[in-house]
Amino acid sequence: MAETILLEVARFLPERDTEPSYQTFEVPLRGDWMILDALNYIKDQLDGSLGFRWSCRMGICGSCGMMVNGVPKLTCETLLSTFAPGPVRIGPLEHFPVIKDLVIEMEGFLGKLQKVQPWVVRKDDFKPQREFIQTPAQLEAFKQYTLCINCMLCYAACPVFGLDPEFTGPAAIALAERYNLDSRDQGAEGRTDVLSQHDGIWDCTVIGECSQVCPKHVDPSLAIQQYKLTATKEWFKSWLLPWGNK
Amino acid sequence: MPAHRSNRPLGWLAFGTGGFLVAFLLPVQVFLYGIAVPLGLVPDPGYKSTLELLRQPLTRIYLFVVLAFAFFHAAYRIKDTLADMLDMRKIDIVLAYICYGGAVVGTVAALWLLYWVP
Repeated sequence: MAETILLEVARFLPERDTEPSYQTFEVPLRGDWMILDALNYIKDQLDGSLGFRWSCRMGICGSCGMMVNGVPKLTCETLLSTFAPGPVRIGPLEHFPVIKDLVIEMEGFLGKLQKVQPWVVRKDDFKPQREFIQTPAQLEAFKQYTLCINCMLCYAACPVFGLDPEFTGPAAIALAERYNLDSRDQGAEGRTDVLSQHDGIWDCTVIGECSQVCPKHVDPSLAIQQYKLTATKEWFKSWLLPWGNK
Repeated sequence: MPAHRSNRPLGWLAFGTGGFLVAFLLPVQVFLYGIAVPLGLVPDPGYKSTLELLRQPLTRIYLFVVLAFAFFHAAYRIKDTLADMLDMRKIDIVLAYICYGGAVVGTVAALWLLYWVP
């Protein structure tokens, strides 16, 4: 096995460059290194100006998502040696504006996330005196969606989001369903106005890449299809029982 | 009109129903009349008896439902595919008119043909 591997890393500084370019670095090929370790080696030893996000190094903070040979990956849990003999091409997550090198602008995503109100919404003045009891079945209904870590790999994988940046997108819809399906929540109605629009669930054409790339095995594609059924029922209800809606 | 009254649920329901019918029923139809009968796997019912079957109102209703939903299933899928392939999401209302127009024409043609069975 060769002792080094070439990393082609995207470089981009908006105030200097007109378009991104790739810079090649030679890094040690260590069996226990993740892609993120190689990037940190570059930053510490070769070029301190390289910009990228990372934090926990254990696949839970969702910061270090990048394109690795064209596939969205959490770089802290992607082994460098699986790409030997290389080279490996590292780029910023696709479909997002780039702030610098591998750092993407996530304001758009955070705005969408906020719009779907991903928290328990109560209509009443809810002050529980003890635990809110849920049955295992009630927990199971939404549990997988709680595993989302907002890493945005699903947005980088979604061709629809690439074509229409207004699309609410996989993670935000999955998190909306996480609360819609929670027996403690009463906010489904408020989320309908965001989700049932053309740019909400209806933009999705069930390509399913979001569920393929999710490092936490969440199935956002399922959440979207589930909600299409909910939205369709609501649509018929609003025509057949118009008095049902205030 | 509230945002959730976007007309997409109607198209989607027709698409979903069509997908279900096309996936479950059309293969049976194609297998019976396109493969099994020509290969002699089942006895050939012959022209007269097939026509007699087609004269039954239930057969005609069945064929009409399968064909109509198949057209609307195709319209939805072709519209979305074209919109993405040609990057025409911004004018997908035009594609919608063309594709759903085609589905309406197909449905009317099916109705007309089934109505005029001799």
